[in-house]
Amino acid sequence: MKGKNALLIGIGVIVLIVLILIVGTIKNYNEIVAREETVTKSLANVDTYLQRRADLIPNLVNTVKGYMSHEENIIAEITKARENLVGAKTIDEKSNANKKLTDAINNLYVVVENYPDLKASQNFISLQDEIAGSENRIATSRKDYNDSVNSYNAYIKRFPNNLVASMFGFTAKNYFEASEGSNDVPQVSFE
Amino acid sequence: MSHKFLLNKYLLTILVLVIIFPLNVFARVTPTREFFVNDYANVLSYETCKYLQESSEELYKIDGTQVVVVTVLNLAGESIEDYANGLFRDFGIGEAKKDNGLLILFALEERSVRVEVGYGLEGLFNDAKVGRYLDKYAIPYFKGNDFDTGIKNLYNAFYNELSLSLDRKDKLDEALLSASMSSRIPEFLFVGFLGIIMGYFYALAIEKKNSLKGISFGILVSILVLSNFLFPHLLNIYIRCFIIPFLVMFLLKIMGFLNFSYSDTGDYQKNILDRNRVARGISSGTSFFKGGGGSSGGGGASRKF
Repeated sequence: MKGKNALLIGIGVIVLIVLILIVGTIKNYNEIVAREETVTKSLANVDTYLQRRADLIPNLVNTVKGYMSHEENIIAEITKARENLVGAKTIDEKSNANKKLTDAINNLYVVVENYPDLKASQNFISLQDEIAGSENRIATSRKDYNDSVNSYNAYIKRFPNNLVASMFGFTAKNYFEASEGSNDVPQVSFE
Repeated sequence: MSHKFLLNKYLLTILVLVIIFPLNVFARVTPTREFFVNDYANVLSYETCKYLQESSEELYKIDGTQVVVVTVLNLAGESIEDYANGLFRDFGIGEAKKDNGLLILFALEERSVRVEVGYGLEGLFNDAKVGRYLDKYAIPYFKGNDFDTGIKNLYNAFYNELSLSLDRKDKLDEALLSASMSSRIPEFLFVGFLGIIMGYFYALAIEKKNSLKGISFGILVSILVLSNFLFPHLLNIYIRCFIIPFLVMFLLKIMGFLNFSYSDTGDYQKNILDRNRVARGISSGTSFFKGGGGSSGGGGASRKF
């Protein structure tokens, strides 16, 4: 009967549309999750490198203490900055603490210019390379983190992804702000 | 007529714009066909280039490690760290999964050098070590403007260290494989024996069905051939250990013979030798290389001279 057929077709169409919506939603959701995981992973990388840099500091302090017995201020500054970094929890805190530590280390390097023995010692040179390396890694991983955050944020703000995102409670993430001075990697220069 | 003239004007404008503003906005250099040597600053002699290329090809053939040398006239305003890391990733130095890549970047105008180490090689070359290599093997020559020798020396330091570690790794792999092989012989025998028995009974079971015989034979042979390419070495050996006796018994029973002999040891020996021959790399000549998609995280060290 015609009426019955029409009804069936109507139901069929509705079911089809619902199925398409469901599949689409699932795809969206999975993509959001995938991008979020990339963000998490990138952040973990940044943390690893921040930790690595923090771990190098005690070594640095010990090396310079022997030569620079009267420069307690600088050394104390570095130690305090390191503690700040280790204790930092949010991205903003980490960013600030990182900058403070960089400043403290740079101050140290300026003072080291007055101690040619220290400056020429292999220990110190190796440490400088390691610290420079860790700072570079922090910069790179931060860039990667920001890229992943950008990819995630842009995706969940687009239509129709934003509907799925708000449905499941996905919110935009914070960038790791580039603080001035943290891109300065201490160079070893040869006069 | 005026219609055509307007079209030409537009075309001309586009042409001029395209020439003035290159569509490729990379400030960094692109890989040469040889890939491992990119002497844009023209500081390397032909012999050095050839030597670097051949050495890198050799390393690459052993396990995919890529050591790339790039010299540039200037860094186009970027810091050497950013330039090196960007270049490293653009080129895709090293294999994607292993990240076993190394980049030696030399900038003539800035008088700077940086070695960027891929994630996978950071254990072998930590930052301090790279710095020491730079100080010892490169800087003395760079200060005297002997860039050719400096770069070659620096390269050799890394090359030697890599060869040593690859040799050790190769020997370790071989030792492990042969050790596990000899202890596994009882297992191989058991699997083979299983294959014999099952082959016999299977043949017995489908004696009456001709079509099934043909299909079984086809499937078995396909599995045998494919397992060579699809499965890891050990699993492949097990599969062959089973299928070959199975097949033999199967065929013998199907064809009506009941006496049999079994020998299988030849196959996996041959397999190992083949792999080694390929790994040592017998082909050479200027072939086309490209990056394996490896990446680096900013490890390494730089120097100004």
